[in-house]
Amino acid sequence: MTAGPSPQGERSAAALRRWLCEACGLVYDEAVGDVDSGVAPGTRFEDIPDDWRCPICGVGKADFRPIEPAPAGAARSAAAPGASGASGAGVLAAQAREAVVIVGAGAAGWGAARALRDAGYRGPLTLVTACDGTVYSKPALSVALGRDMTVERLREQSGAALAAELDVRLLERAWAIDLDRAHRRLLTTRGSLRYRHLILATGARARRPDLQGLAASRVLAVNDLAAYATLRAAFDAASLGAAALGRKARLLIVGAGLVGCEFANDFAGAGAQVTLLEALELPLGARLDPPTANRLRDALTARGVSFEGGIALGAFALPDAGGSSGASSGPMHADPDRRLALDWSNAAGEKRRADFDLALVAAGVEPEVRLARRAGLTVARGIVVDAQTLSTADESVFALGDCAEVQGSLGSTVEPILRQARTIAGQIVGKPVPYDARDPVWIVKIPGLPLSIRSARSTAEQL
Amino acid sequence: MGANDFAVNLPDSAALAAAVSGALDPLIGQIDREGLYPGAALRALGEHGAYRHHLASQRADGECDIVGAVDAMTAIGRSCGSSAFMTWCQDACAWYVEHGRSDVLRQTVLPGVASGAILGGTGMSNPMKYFASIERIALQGKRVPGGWRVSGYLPWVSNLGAGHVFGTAFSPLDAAGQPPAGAGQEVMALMHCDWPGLTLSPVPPFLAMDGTGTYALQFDEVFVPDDHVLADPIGPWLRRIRNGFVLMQVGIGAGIIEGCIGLMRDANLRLGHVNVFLEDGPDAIEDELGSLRERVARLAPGVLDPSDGQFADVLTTRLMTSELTLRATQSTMLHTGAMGYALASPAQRRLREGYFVAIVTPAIKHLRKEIDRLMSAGTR
Repeated sequence: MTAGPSPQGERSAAALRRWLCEACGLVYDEAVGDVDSGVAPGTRFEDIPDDWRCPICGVGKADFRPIEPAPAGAARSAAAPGASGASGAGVLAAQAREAVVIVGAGAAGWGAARALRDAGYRGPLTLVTACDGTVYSKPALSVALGRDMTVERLREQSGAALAAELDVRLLERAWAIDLDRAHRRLLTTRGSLRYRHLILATGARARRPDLQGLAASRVLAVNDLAAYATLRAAFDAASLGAAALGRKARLLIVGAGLVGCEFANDFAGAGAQVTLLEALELPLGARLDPPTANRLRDALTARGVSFEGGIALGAFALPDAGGSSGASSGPMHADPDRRLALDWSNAAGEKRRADFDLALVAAGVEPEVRLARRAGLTVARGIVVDAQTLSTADESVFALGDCAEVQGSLGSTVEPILRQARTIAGQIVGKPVPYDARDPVWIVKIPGLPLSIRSARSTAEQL
Repeated sequence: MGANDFAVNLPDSAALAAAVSGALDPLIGQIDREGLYPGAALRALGEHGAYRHHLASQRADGECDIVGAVDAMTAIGRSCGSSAFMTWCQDACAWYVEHGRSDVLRQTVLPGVASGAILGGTGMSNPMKYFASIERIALQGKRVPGGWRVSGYLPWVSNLGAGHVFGTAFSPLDAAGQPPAGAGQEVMALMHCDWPGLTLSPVPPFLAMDGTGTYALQFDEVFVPDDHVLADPIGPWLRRIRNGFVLMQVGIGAGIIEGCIGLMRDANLRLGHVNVFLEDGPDAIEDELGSLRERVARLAPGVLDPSDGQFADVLTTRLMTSELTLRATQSTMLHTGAMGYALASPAQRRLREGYFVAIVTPAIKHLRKEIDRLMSAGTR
């Protein structure tokens, strides 16, 4: 059976039609023909031999009807004639969009998950994290030694356990790569997720100033439990090596902000010989009035910390050969060598140089906003959110915690996080809890001089 | 030179569409079911400009039009995903020569590849996986006067045949027979299928992709003259060409997705009242395909940007393409129902083609591994 293009088939393509098999839904397109059955492209349906049968289901020509071309621009609505108001988007698709997805498994991410469940949200909840989701208290890291907390004891709960408790699907070790806001889809390295509401709890990352010198890569920065575990392991190795030589482990901390001061205090209490260097004259100099900052310096000195303010950093060099520390040949042999030597100028402009077993930079944090920026959300220093609802410029996307910026100020403390989580949960379940954007309060956890600081007034009160 | 002469050299989408329906569409059943390699159709597509969009040196206006290359591949893939893949092979092969160091090849081979007179493939799957720490490098070369002697085995290289060319990379061994330390020191070259010592063996029959001229290549001391070396070392060169290599593949997926949208709309003529209970209907898929196209258009001007940040954006777009292709092809099966299972139905062919988009280098898992690496390093 063959059929060539008929004279009619040579008409312009616009005149060619398409025919629907009523039995199976096959479409016979006159422009395409049915080459496998010997019907050439351009063959009009009427010109197909009468013994031709539907190539899918075998019914004859009588069971075909012509498809009326949709009016221009109406192809989309014609796609789903039975959809009531869904216009082809699909009934199920609408249901699937109930889901809430949270990015980040710090206090903010887990806090949001718990607040949602507390607020009665019963729908699907997925938490995406690049780490393993372990639950821990970040403020506890810089006081852990003094409280005799091992890294193991700092792990309050596994991510899997809390996920089970909160009925959360935990997507661990998955990076949130990109956001397609128009279609409410989050792309991750472990698959893409649809959401009705997305909560960004991406936190902040440790700032690493541009350190100079061959040994700069040996300097640690700590802003999460994993990095803290590295610090503790390195400190243990350095302490063992130093003890073999009859001395203390020499720890350098660059930056005497809140975290730098707390770590200096904590490690000095644990027997380290701590040198704390700061570009400003006094510790916490940017936040404290000079008399209070002087008292803080004295408290640190009394603790055994060697504080130097007003310094200018030089280069981090590899230590002189000779292996005097023994840190790399002790029982922790597998640990990378973190010894280094630092050159700096003191406040009087004199050149100084010293060897250290371990160095830590504590230069503050910066909000993790890259995903938000790629998604085209408004980002200043942090992800800009509405002061009442904590929603971003996109009403289906919220942000809280260290990554969020409320009325021009960044979170950077734990206190507001749970209140923020309750506000976002309230928005999502339709029971608004307007957020109260108070000044954040910093607590300086140093025995002998506990301080609380209110940011706006930059004043400190001794507790 | 008149205005018409100028236009002759530029690709023309209407002419390409006519070539697809005239030369390719009648062969689709044979390509899919009998593994027919549509060499004549591929040449015809080339004559209508399918392969020169991105080749500034082969266009009268001197432009590199990545979007045009992707659109041409889409127009071909709307009919046949396997042919869209071969279009990409051809485009990638030409891309290597366009940006390679060999002026001889640019003058003697590139015009033929650009016009489809010479068909070409890309043996870069193994080197790309090697650079992502997924596989070992498969080919080794020994320095000899005037060139290299290359030996080794590449298991799958597509769009090959007698008279075809392809680009690939080998590890240069030193006098002691040792490979260089560290990735990036490899040598990139254009090879001819007809060279002595090179054996093309048929691979076992391939699902959906049997008509792609795919062979296993055994290299036995194949002489590669110096004027066929495209880059040595490959490292910095690869950074320049990798965005184009990956970004153009969006066209394979986009073509299959467009085909699926049409099939779903057709299915909805009869089954729309029940298909609304499916996720990923044709309108939703079409919307997302639009977003994908916008991403390609945004990334196209930076196609030669060697930075990891740009590459991460390209990999992300490629990943989105794979995911959307899988959703579109699966949803097409669900929309068409039992009819989609008929061997004559394009729905099941689309499903098989769609999986290929997700597994061909860079596969979804490869993309996620690479993006994970770039994100862990803080690049993105």
